[in-house]
Amino acid sequence: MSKQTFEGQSPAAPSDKIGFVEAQIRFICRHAWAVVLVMAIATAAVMPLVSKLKLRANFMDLLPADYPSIKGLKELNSHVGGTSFLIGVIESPDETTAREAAQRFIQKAGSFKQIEYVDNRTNSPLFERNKLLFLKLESLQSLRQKIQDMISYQRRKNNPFFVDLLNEEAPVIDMKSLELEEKVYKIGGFAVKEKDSFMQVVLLKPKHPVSDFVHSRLLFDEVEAGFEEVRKEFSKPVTLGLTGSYRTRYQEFFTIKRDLRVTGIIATVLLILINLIGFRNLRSIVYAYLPLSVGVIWTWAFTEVSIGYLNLITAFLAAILFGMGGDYTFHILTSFEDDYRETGDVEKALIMTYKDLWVPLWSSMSTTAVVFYAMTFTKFEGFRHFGIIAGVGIFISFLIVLVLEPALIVLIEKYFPLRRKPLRDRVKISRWSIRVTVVLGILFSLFSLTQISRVKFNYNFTDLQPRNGEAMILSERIGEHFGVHLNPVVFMTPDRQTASQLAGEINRYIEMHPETLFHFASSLTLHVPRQQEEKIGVLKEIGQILASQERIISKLDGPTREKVESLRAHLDAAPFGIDDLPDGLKGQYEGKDAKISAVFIYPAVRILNGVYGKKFVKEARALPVPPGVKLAGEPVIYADILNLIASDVPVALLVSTLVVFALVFWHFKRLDHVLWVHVPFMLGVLWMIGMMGAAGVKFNFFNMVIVPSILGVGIDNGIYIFDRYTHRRTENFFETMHKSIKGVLLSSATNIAAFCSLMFSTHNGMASIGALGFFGFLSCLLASVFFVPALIEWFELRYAHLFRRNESSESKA
Amino acid sequence: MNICRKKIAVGAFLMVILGSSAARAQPAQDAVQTFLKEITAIDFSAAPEAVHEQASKAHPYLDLEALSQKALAAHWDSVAPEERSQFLDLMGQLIEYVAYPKTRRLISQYTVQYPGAEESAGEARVPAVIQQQEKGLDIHVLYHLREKDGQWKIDDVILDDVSITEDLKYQFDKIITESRFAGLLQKMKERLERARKESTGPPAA
Repeated sequence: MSKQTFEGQSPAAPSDKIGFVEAQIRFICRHAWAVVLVMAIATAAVMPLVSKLKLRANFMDLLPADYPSIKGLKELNSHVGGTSFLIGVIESPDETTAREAAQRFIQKAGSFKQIEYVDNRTNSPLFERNKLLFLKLESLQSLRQKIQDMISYQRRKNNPFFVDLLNEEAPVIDMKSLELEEKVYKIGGFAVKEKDSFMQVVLLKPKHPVSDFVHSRLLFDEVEAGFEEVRKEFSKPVTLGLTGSYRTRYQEFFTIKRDLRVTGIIATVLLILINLIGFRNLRSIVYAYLPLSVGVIWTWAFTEVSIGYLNLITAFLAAILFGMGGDYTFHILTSFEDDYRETGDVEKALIMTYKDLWVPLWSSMSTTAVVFYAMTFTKFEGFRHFGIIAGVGIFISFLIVLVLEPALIVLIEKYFPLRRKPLRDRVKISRWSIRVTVVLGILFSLFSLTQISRVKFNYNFTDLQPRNGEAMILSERIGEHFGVHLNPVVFMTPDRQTASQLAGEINRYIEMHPETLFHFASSLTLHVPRQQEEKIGVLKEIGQILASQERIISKLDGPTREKVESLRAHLDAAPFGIDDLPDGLKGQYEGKDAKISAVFIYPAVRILNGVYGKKFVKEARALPVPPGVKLAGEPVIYADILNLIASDVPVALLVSTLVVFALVFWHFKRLDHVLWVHVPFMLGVLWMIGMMGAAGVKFNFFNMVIVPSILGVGIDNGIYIFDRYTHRRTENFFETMHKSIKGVLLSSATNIAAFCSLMFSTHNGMASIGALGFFGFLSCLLASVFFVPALIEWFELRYAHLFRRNESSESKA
Repeated sequence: MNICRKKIAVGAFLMVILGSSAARAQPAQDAVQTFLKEITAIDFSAAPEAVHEQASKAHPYLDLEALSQKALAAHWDSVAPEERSQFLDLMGQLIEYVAYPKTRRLISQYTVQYPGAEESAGEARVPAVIQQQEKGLDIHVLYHLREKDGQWKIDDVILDDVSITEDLKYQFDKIITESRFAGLLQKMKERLERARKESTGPPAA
């Protein structure tokens, strides 16, 4: 189709005043080599900065360094090394093998270079000898009674004239029914029998922090090698699994890195394919992606200088920058291709393209940048950094595209000229297809309204972990079996007495409030059992009973006799105090410097579910504590992240929406035009919710960051389409669409492809970003390219022009 | 003539005395030994009628009625004669099917020593030590006997300080309180039925 001459538009004549845009393009065209060379040198110069950019996959980096919860955790780490362990799970179908392997492993682990101490009660002679003292006095008395009952029953049964008419069950010595004096004693002595295996858990305290992955790798190697030596000593199968924060964080970090590589390759392949389909030549790949690549490099250099690292959320900004930067490259390329076919001259074609697109490009970039900048006011570093990097990155990419793309076009077309095939005639759009599109759009909109209530926010952090993460699965097994969730919050108190008092008060609070999310509180003093003299007395009585009934014990069945013998081994308890506790345990509460004494509060529920996590932390913060006592711990950080998102994100979205509205109004100057420009975005969001509801996708703190991008792109499509329509008064809407649709389609397709690639991530958080981006950009595309144009055309055909277009041609340059 | 009558009278007196001594028969220890010997001789793999016939040889040394009366205690007088008769019959069968096999199992492999019986005023206590391989594991049983109709009969067996009559008393009291005497008879029948099913062969040595 030949390009129309538009009425009212005067082609530029050489003698006319050369506008700014035209001057810019002429300069670039005449100095293309210099432009490319300067860009290349500048890009090479910033590469050292890019190579220094690191990924920090720690949740702590999502809050500002001076945030109270971050400072608290750092202080806690400095004193006691934090609350995290490397958890080793030793498993075997044979109980004896599992126990003995654990013992051997614990002995070895004590000498590992990366380990501070091993927290396992069975390894300490003090705890092993006195383990019965950790039971409640009533439980020991009950045990004594049970033993007496058992002996009595056996004595009766042994009498040959005994006739059992009552069918009484033999009394059993059920050690599991005995109650520990403090729930904290469950920790460190973990062992459970599953259906097919016996599991023994060992807690290892590393010397380094969780975020030090280099030392974590050394630690895992040391642990695995050490266990391998132990394993060889046993004929029966025995395995070691690793979990705990050290393992889960490590796996998450490397999963993200791997995912970035894999999704990067997938995105690259998809983007090249889109380019080839759209332009049918290889050079378009260079025109489109070389400037974008340079833009991303400069953006990373900026990030290294301004922030210094990428976090869990900004890690995949490259995909977003490519997708959104593609907006500009594709609009320029599609317009250039048309203009070049018409003029046959590169420079003239570029001038025409830039004159047409200058204003909408700047408006589009501004709205997108504003949407990202609106996120920078939040304290949630995940979003704030995202806003800074994306906002500046979009601007950098835009400028580079504006300058480098025409330079590349000039050079490549000069040295490698390519004859373009004429365009096919415009496909006629029938009224029938317009009607069908409108009806389908309305129906899907109605369906989407029904899905609004289904699309909720997923607070569960475990759903945002690597898929099939072995460490996380093992962690859940342990939590379920032992009834203790190792995610405590910590009150840092100035001394042992305060800690002891506070722990007592909290445990009393727990007893009085059954609905509390607290499971139990522990301080160092609670590790010394109470009423030791009375308990030792009961144990002595039990010993005497057993000593006087040897014959009866010898006649017991095997398992019962084993229990009795096992019990006997621990009857010789001796009293002990705090000073006798293992150094490792003391260090856990008071560190080496003993400047604080910690009170741990363990949750009764899995607080990686953010709903419970927030409530748990809120409840802890509401406890009346003495002055100078501070709360810290990872759960506090998780809760603060969620609270910040809840408070800041809606405001950020509102601010960006209002500013975008104002910008679009400044561009179009008419409220009705502004509203029409917003229609594709609003419908896009509605349809996105419809797709999410149908697919079961929820919002979470990872993918919420994409919503502003969807706002930006949804508005962009409207700006390009309606800007052209309002300035070409001789074109009907579909003629306008024909010109601008290709750019909109290709730029949307690259966004969709970029997010689609993220859906292949094994990290669920990243995959959720891909899913939301895919649905969001697809919805905006369908709304802006199909439904809204069909709706407008349907109105215009039946009623009147919806758009009052400009009477005079205006050059926006 | 008078001297003859006197001699006849003395001789008759002596015969009575000697006869009654003879009728008093074994010491209590012998009664226990014979009792245990008869039990050991029972072939429990034989047909029930044969087992019953063999077991009957041990019955004379057991005072079932006294043992039962002690166990039922206050309930004994309140029970109707027919029920008492039924009770005694069941008790006898339970001893035959439960107690005798267990006794045989207990003593058949080991030597039984009798350290020294005590007899006085119609009562006797006969301790028995069933010797195990380890001296500390020897089983000490105390048989309590009463003289009845010129014969020593066992009316209690005490092992590890557990008196069988006391234990039975505890069980009887509990059952009668919950489900009356009829309930006790029912329980005894059920236990007997179970014992009969279990007695499919000779008791394990």
